[in-house]
Amino acid sequence: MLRSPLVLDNNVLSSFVDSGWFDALSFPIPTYDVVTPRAVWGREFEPYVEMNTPPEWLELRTFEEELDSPTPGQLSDLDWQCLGLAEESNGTVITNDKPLREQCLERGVETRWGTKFMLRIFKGCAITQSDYDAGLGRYLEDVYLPASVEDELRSQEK
Amino acid sequence: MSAVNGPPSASSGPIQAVESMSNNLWGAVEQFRLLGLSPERILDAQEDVLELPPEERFTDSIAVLEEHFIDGAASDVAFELDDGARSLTKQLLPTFVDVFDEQIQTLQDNALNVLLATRDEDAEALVVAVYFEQLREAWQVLYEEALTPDGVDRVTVSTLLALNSRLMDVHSEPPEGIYADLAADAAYGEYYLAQVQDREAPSDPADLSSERIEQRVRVAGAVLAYKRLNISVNRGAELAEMSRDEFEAALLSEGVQPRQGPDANEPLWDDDENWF
Repeated sequence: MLRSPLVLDNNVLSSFVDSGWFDALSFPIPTYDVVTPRAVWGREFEPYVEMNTPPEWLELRTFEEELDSPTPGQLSDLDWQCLGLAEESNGTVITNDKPLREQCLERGVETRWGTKFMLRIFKGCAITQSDYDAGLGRYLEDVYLPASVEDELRSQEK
Repeated sequence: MSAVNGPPSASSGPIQAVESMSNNLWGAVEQFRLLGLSPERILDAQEDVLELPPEERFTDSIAVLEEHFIDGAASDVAFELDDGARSLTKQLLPTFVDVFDEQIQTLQDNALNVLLATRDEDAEALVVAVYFEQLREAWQVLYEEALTPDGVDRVTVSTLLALNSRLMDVHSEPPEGIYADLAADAAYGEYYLAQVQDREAPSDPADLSSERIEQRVRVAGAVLAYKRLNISVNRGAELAEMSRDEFEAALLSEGVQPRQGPDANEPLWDDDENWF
């Protein structure tokens, strides 16, 4: 089982918006809290999408602690906030970014790929086959994956 | 307030990388004594080069050198090589360029590594890294041109002189406004090197405000940092002062793929993996 809360970074959030699947992110509710740092929403997400308030299923949390790292410049300040939120609450970072994932693994923070997360949501029936087929092209414009992974995603059926 | 703290202090900042390169150049100038050339004359020429407006400095600063050495021991400085000289150049220049390139790349790496170790000198480290990139390219272009029948373009030599003159100026104490000067010179270097190589040149820095030049250098530096360091896309965007989408577009325009996963060899679906 994943550890709750699930902390989504801005790439995961925006890839679901661009694909038209945003509300499917409520799928892990009520077993899991789905959260993102308040700063990610305010600075990286909300200015670029037509959405003034977060949906009910998405909780905005503030991270005010300071983490220590020998390489503070490997990640953006908001990446560190995602990691910090998951670390302090024993949760899971959902991301597509390799350096963020590597930092999570190094610090013992649970993390999963955003694309695998999306696939579980699709297979769990929160995204219909037709919506999946319609949105996958836009998803792949937003998330950079090897050609073989793209092909595998294109052939997915429930 | 940042969400992360680094180690107490970074071992070496971007200005130290510039000073090291400056020291290397001063050391090289001292070697000119062995050839019977006066280092003082070279230093006078370097000061005169820096006084030229950039449009002249990057295209014809070689004229300053010619002027200073017209009746000196180096009056035989020539950029049209005969067959023998070209043959010798072919043999020696690769080593010479390799040595310089290695030195410059090491110092460039030092400047880039500052971006990992601290978040306090981002802008300065990016400017220095881009400056060194232009210097490396100028040496490379000089090397390639030296092997052609037409010889070295005056603009290439002048660009190299202009870039090195700025570095030598940092020797005793970094002048005020050094990062703005380095950013402007990097932009001019990029512009004129693109012209001599018949590549599509970016906009003429003479037409840009200093803010616009610094922004251009910042984005080039962030892309370079992303290529050379294992930083996140969001960190690159933060360095470039762009949105993530804008930065990804900047990466792709330079042929750099954002580092995202999963990889091809990783199964997308693993029944043993427990999710919900």
